[in-house]
Amino acid sequence: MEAQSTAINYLPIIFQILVALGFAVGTMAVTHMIGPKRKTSDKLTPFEAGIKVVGNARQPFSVKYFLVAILFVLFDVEVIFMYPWAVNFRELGSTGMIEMFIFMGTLLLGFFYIIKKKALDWD
Amino acid sequence: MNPGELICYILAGVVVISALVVVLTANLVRSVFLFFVTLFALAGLYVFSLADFVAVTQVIVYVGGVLVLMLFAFMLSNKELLNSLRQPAAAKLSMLTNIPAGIVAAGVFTVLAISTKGLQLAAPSGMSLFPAGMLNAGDNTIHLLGVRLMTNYLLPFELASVFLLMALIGAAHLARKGKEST
Amino acid sequence: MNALITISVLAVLVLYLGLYKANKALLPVTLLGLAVALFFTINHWNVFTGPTFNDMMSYDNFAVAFSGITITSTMLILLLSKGYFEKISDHVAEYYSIILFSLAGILVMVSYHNMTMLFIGIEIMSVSLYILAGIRKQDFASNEAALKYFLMGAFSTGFLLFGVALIYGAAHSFDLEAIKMHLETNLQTGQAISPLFYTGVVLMAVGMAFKVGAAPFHFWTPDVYEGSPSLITAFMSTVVKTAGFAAFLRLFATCFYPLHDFWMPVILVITIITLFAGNITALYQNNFKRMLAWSSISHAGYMLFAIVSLGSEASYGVFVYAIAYSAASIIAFAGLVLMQANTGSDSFDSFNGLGRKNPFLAFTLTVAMLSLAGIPLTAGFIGKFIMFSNALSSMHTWLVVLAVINAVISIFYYFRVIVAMYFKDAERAELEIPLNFKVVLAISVVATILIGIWPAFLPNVI
Repeated sequence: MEAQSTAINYLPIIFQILVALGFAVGTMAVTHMIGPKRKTSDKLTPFEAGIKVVGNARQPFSVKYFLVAILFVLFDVEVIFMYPWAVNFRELGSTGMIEMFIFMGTLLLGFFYIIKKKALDWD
Repeated sequence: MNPGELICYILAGVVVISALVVVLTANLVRSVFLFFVTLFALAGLYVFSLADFVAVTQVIVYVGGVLVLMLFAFMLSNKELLNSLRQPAAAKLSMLTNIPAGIVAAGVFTVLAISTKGLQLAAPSGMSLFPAGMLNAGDNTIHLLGVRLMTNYLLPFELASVFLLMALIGAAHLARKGKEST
Repeated sequence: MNALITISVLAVLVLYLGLYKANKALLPVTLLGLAVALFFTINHWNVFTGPTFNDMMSYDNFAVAFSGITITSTMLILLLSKGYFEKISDHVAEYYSIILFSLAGILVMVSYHNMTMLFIGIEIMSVSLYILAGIRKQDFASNEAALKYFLMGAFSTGFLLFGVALIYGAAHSFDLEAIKMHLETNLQTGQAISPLFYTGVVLMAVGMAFKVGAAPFHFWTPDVYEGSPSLITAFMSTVVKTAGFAAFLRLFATCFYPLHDFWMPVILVITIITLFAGNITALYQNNFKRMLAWSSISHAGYMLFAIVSLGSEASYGVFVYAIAYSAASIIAFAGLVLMQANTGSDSFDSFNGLGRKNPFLAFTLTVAMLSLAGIPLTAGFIGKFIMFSNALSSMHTWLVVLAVINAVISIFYYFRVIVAMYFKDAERAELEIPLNFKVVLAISVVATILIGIWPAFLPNVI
């Protein structure tokens, strides 16, 4: 089973995920179990700085946040493209550098456009 | 069955079951959060297929980006809209309207099952799919990928930047609160 | 390659011109840039030596011919757009820029030599179109069109990508030539071709049929075409459709040719369904724009003939047909845009009495309708003739019989426009036709009639 020689490298990550999940779930479960429970109707209502709750908490977000999220995904993809280049940075040398700069330059043009267009201004 | 295989099968099981629940559950918010599980388990399967880079991409782009975008979409839409999107409890696989989609899905699945059955899958890791000399277990795939991306596949790589630029402009244009949409 | 770089740079340039409030310069700069790109493209004529850029692209005559048509059609459509986008929104530069990006994707689609290039070309083109379909943010129909197009398009891209992956699994290459070699050697030595390959071919056919709007994958077409702004619809139904067929033909005629016996029946069935679905539904439309949408589906059926019968004339046939169809459609959409701007309606009735008030516009529309219907002495006839004779030479006699029946059906709905223009009276004011419309109409009509009378005028590609 030679195939696992790489998969085995990820074993620590699996352990970490398990520990993280275990800790979160465990502490939540334990506090839930050992904490005292006294439920009254007052305690179960949402608390809003002492005043009565007005309206619905689920107000629609502004579309501006959505734009930020979309831009985040796009630059996320860009970063993914940089990863294989960065691994071989030395080997690819100046040619690789120029190639990457063209790639980055194209996206920077887009980023500059976004800023100039004030798409990220929140007023 | 050694521990590696066991983990692989567990991951595969998690993917299939969580994906089914994502599709079948009536509560959309729950589907989105379960989708996290599906995508993570899928990333694990990629690791077993010697595709480390794809696994990393999966986690960074899909889990870190696309799913966050989906959550934003939920926060953007108001509760009435979400309630109207909520499928009625009867919207199970047996619904009449789901039959055509079910037939197509079953058909595609059958064809795929038949066509992969003919392949010699000696090891569950899928090693024999690669002809000799193409990829070995110990290879640094990201290194090979990077070299290929910057030499043979340079043109698609640069065009990807054009594509991203275009998507950037389009997203900024459509998602912006312009004069015409206030 | 130069053309591709020119157009990509041009798109960014136009974007930045818009940013610095040089809105007057947008259209001239765009047209000039496209002319330069067209020049670079034509320069590649007959100098093909082999695939370039690590075998990613092959600028053969096929690529040059189709790049030429798409760039020219885009120029004509952009000429019509003077003052059009300004009415929709303030951000005019974005529209030009996204159309140019889409054209860059199209240039990749017509000259790819590698599956990755096909995929990225299609993606650049389609994602631009999703945005363009929805540029009327206030308009419900436009939003619906964008969303529908996006969902359907993303789904079909999934099919396409799945097909590419399966074919890679079987042939271990993305390169068209290598895949063909794999097929040929396997067929010669009697080795079984992996079942993955067959599945991949079918999935890719489904994906491409989605993109060109062939039945039974056409359901997005009418709504998207109707909801999008008319000039964007014109772009989609001419340039995009031409590019889709060029990509389709290149894939199946060069790469999957050895498996012709396997996929031909599939495409044959798609062709017949497309012809009947497009033509019969078009008969029942009362809206000119929707009729054009359905007629574009039926024309997709005629263009599929080339892929069914892959003779030596297949590329030439699609080439001529694409020119004829693009020219006629541009005229029709120009008429539609004028009509919408003046009367705000796009039903057949709004054309009543046009022949008396606007003889020139009525004449050009008549030529366009005749060409679309395939009446002799127009380019449409030559296109259909080449397609049919090609199909006859590959022994698809009954397919041609069905197609002729469809051509007869199509006459009914195309003639409704002509009848409305000349034989129905209505009180109407004369439409004012701007100069740029006159130029585009004249160019398109001359092209239609010239090819109709003297088809040898076009160089025989490939």
